Amino acid sequence: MSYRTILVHADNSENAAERFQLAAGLAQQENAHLVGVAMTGIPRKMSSVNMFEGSGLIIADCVRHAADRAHQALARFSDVTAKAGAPASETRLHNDDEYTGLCLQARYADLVVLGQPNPDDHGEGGLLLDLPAHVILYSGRPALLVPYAGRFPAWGKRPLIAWNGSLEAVRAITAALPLLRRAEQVTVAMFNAEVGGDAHGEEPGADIALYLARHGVKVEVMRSPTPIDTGNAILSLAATIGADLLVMGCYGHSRLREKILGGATRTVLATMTLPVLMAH
Amino acid sequence: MQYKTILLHADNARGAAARLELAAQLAEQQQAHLVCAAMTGISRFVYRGKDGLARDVIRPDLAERARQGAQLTLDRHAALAERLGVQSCEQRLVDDDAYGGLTLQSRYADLLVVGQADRDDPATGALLQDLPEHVILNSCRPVLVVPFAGAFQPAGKPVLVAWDGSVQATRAITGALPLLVKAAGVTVALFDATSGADEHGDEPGADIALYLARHGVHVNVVRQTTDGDVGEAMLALADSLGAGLLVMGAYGHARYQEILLGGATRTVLNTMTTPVLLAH
Repeated sequence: MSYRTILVHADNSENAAERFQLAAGLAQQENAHLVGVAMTGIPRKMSSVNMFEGSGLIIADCVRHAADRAHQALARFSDVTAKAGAPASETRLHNDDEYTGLCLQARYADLVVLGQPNPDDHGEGGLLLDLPAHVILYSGRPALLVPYAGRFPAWGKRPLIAWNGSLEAVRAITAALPLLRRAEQVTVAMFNAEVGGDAHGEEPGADIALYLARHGVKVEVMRSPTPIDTGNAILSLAATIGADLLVMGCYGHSRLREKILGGATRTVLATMTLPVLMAH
Repeated sequence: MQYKTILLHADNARGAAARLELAAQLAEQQQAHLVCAAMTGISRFVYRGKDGLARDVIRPDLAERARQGAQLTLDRHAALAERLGVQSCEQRLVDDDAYGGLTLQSRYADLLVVGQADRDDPATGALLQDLPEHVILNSCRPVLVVPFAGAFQPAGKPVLVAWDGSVQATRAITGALPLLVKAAGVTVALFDATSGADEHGDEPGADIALYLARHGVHVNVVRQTTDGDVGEAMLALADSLGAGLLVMGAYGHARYQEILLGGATRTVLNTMTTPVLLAH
């Protein structure tokens, strides 16, 4: 697995520049094509039909304003990625809402880079709190989430994989392979593994460690049973071992058509302090 | 990118030897470790019970006979694998039924190889008719289904990829990449695709062609209209191209819909004449 096309959500949230920087660095390492995409937030149906006859200039003004904001985000993206020396990069502006637009574009990328939403951000960063979850659950692609605060100049040397034997975790690990292969040391941690439990077998973590070793990944296995909730335990362990990337499955429970996030996933999405790669 | 671990379902079906030969060819092409897994047919839950205690629900002599049967299957596979010169091969006896056993082990492999269900096979009879479907839907890996009759040498032959813009097709393509990069020509076919429709954009197929080109896979894009039976159209096109492999997303529609109304996946699984790689 290699990343050949990396899609980056370009918006005007506070830590967007850090997201662009991180993506550019990764694209350079992987020699991947970088695509910055900004959405106006206006659904395609509205912009494809001339609905503004008689409605006045007010609506047309809103549409123009939304387009301007998107252009602004893309200009910043181009600026940051050019300075970072990303190999091949392009920008795209779409008349679409972020949810649909990103899921659609993600089909044609190996990885999507998104910003962690910040509920306290009064600007764009606080608007679409469930955007990352939606993209991960519905696009079929892995997402790399960049925290809404902080700088991550050196990352990916010391990944932590939160492993519980689930299919989602397997998908995240597979999606992270290009990063895991480059890392100096990868830790696979299990938080509540029972020996002989369904996914774990007699020696929890041994099977996945072997699978990873065959892919050229240097891996160590840790068991970290926890009485506190798993999400916090994961972040706590990441801090303790100095992990600079977290890899974990994104859990959604079906409720008819709507997927509701699992607890650990919600905790990590809300309080992450390091870049997180998630897949569903 | 290459497969590093291939998991083959080892059983006594008529097509088992041809299936092993195909798996061996792939293992060689990909420099992968081949795991031949034979299941006793007795679910692991029977052995274990909910409270972790062993349950003597099955007469010991019958359980032993089941194990011996699986071991015999593995011995046959080992002998054939050696004749075929497979470099890295392992025989694994699994105390489980085929559904659970294959699904659980799929976590630790990059690709699963199973046989097409054969209602008339004296060894399996009408049992396990939905095994391929179960594994496709419940494992997180691409599944290569091998027709129950015939022998297959996909090397040096073109590959047909059926593309409809769905998440399932996206997963199938990503899962098939190690095979696509080695194929002697790849055709991406769109059946009944409309320009400008949600999944496809203005030039159906162009986006996925570009995505693949960046992975070193250069494709021809072909569009066809069908009379409604997309499954048959896929197989007919594969035949006329002389394709050694068909790649497609599985169960893009709700399963109850496919069961009631028929669907491409069911058609292909029932009537395939060439190996098919599916993902969900």
